[in-house]
Formats: sequence, structure tokens, C-alpha cells
Amino acid sequence: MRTIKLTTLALAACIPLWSLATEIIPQPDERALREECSAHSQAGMRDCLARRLADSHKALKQAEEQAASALGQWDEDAKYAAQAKARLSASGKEFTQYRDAQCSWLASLAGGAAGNATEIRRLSCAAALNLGRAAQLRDATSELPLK
Amino acid sequence: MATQAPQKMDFEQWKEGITKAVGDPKWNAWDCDIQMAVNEYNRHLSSTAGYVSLDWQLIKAMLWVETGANNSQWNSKPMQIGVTGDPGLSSFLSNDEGSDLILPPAWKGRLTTGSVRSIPTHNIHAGIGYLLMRMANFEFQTVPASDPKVYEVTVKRGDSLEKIAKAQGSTPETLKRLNPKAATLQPGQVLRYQKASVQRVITGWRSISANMVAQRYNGGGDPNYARKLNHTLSLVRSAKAVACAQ
Repeated sequence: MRTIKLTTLALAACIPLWSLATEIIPQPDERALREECSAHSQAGMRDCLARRLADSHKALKQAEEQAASALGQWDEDAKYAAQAKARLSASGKEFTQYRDAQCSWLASLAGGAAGNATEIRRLSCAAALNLGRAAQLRDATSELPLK
Repeated sequence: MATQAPQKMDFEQWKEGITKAVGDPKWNAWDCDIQMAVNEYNRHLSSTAGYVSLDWQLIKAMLWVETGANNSQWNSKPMQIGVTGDPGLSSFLSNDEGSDLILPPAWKGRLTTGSVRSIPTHNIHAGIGYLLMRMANFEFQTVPASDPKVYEVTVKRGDSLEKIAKAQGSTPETLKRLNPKAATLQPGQVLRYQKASVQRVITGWRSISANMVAQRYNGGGDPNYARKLNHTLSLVRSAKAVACAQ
């Protein structure tokens, strides 16, 4: 009986966390982006993914600016807000390094292929990671209490 | 889950486009150049172990999957080998991976980075050559020199089969074959040898299919490559090809 009560309490404690969680909009992964652009020939597919990457750069830049702006208005002691801003900047730099290394590795999975395969993999990977990072930044800062 | 629905739509969209292309006046644009190039490769490689003649229609289908007449690169790089960021062309031209065995003698020295990137027939030749290079199985083996004479060499202190082979222009395998009892070398011992070298040779071929082209030429960049190729190939086979002077 005691075990049932404890389990019920534990479950009840979890429910508010789920219900309060920000709705996460699924971001396309790199394969989904390749599928989307697969409506074209290989040359066209590469152009399509290059456009998707350019769009993802814009989306990421916008999310970074919004996150920085949210931290500027955060209803928190200046010391902690400054610390969060500095860490946002540092994580942005580390993200860029990780993205480039990860996508370089993923591109290498084209092996000895010819043509656009390497670039198709690199572009889709970078676009997907940018979009994922942009979503993370939005999610992380969307519920900050503002001044 | 949100990514499931577009998969079909995008492939269907592509299929619709390529089906319309059959009526395009450019549908047969490269037929004769493709046939000529494929015939040259087939003649050159016909004597290699297990070679099955390449079907020129597969190459035509590849051109439509790679570029298609609506793409600006149709008139420069129809097979897409040599595009920016493609390591394929440099490995093909470097001869490091066996292209010297694939390329017909008449084309040796004619293909350059610049020509493959700008002259469509060169791009087609390089693309076919690269595809065949990726389909060949290579091994390094002892190849006898044209001189069949059997020479003799006396073993000196500190010699090994490798050392003697290198000094005499032969190979350890040749020395072992001609001296089966010389397991341990003794100074003063006389060994027989023939001139030979270790060279890359074609030992067989992968079976060429749409899946194999997707894997070995496209490298899995486009998840629908094999489906596209199969669909285009069926269109190519059902449509009328132009008659080309042989």
C-alpha cells in the first residue's frame, strides 16, 4: 500500500513538469532535409540544400539575437544575467566548431563517391544542426521571466 | 513522424518531372557521345576477368539523375564529376586508385581538371571511367616483365628475398616461385630469378546495378538515388534512341 502511495505521488510530481514543458516543434534532421530536396536532380538537390543552409544560418542568427535580447531583459541579478550572456556566446563558438567537425565527418561517409554526395551530406548536416540549435535557444529562453 | 509524408511526395514530384522529360527535344542530346564513350571503355576492358559490357542506357539514365536538361550544368558537367567539393575527379586523374587501368589509351593525358569541368564529353568520359573504377576489384600482384630470361644471383651475407628482389628488379614472390627450396638463405647460395614487378591489376568486377551505382558513385547522398535511376532507366529503355554513326 505504502509503495502504491509513493508511486502515485512520484507520478503526480512528474505531471506538472510534462504539462508545463514548452511545446517542442520537431526540427528536420539531415536525412529529412535530403529527402525534401530529393525532388531535384543531384545538381538541383545540392542547390536546394545550399538554400536550406542559408535559411538555417538566418534562423540561427535570429535565434541568437533573440536569446541575447531575452537575457538582457531577464528579471535576474545583473551578475547572473552577465554570466548567462557570456556562456551563450561561448557555447555559440563551440557549437560552430562542433557543427563543422561533425558535418565534415558526416560528409566523409560519402566515401569515394563522385559528384555532389559529399557536399549534399555536409550541407544537410549543417542546416539540420543550425535549425536544432536555433530551436534549443528559443526553447531555453522562451520562459525566462522578463523585467 | 512529420518527415514521413514528404518522402513520397518529393520522389513522386521528381518522377513526374523526369517522365515529362522523355518528350523533351534534349532527351537524346548526349546519346551518341555516351554510346561512343561506353563502346571505347567496353572494348578496352573486355579482356579483364569477369567484365560484363556496360550498358550505355544506364549512363544516359545517370545523366538525367545527376543533372537533367533543365539544369545549367547539363551543357558542362552532365555527370557532375568534378563539381566543387568533389574529391572524385582528383582521385581519378591522380591514377592512385587504378584509373590508369580503366581509361582507354586514346584518352590518357586528354582529360584534365579543366576539361572535365567544362567540356561535356570529357565529363561523360571521366564519369564513366570513375564509375568503372569504383566497380572494379583491384589487387597488387606480381607481373612478369616482357623479358622472359631466367637470371642467377649469388646470396650475400645479410641478404633477404626482399632485398635481392629490389636489387635485381624482381619480386619476392618470383624468387620464391623459382627457388621453392630456398626457405633459408645461405651466403654463396645461387638463386634463380626473372624480372618482374608488383603492380595493381583488375581481378574482377562488382555487378553493376542501380543500388551499386547509388552506393559507389553517389555515395548515398540522395536517399532516393537508386529508385530514381531505376525509374529513369525504364523510361530510357522504353523510349526510342537516336541512331548514331559507329
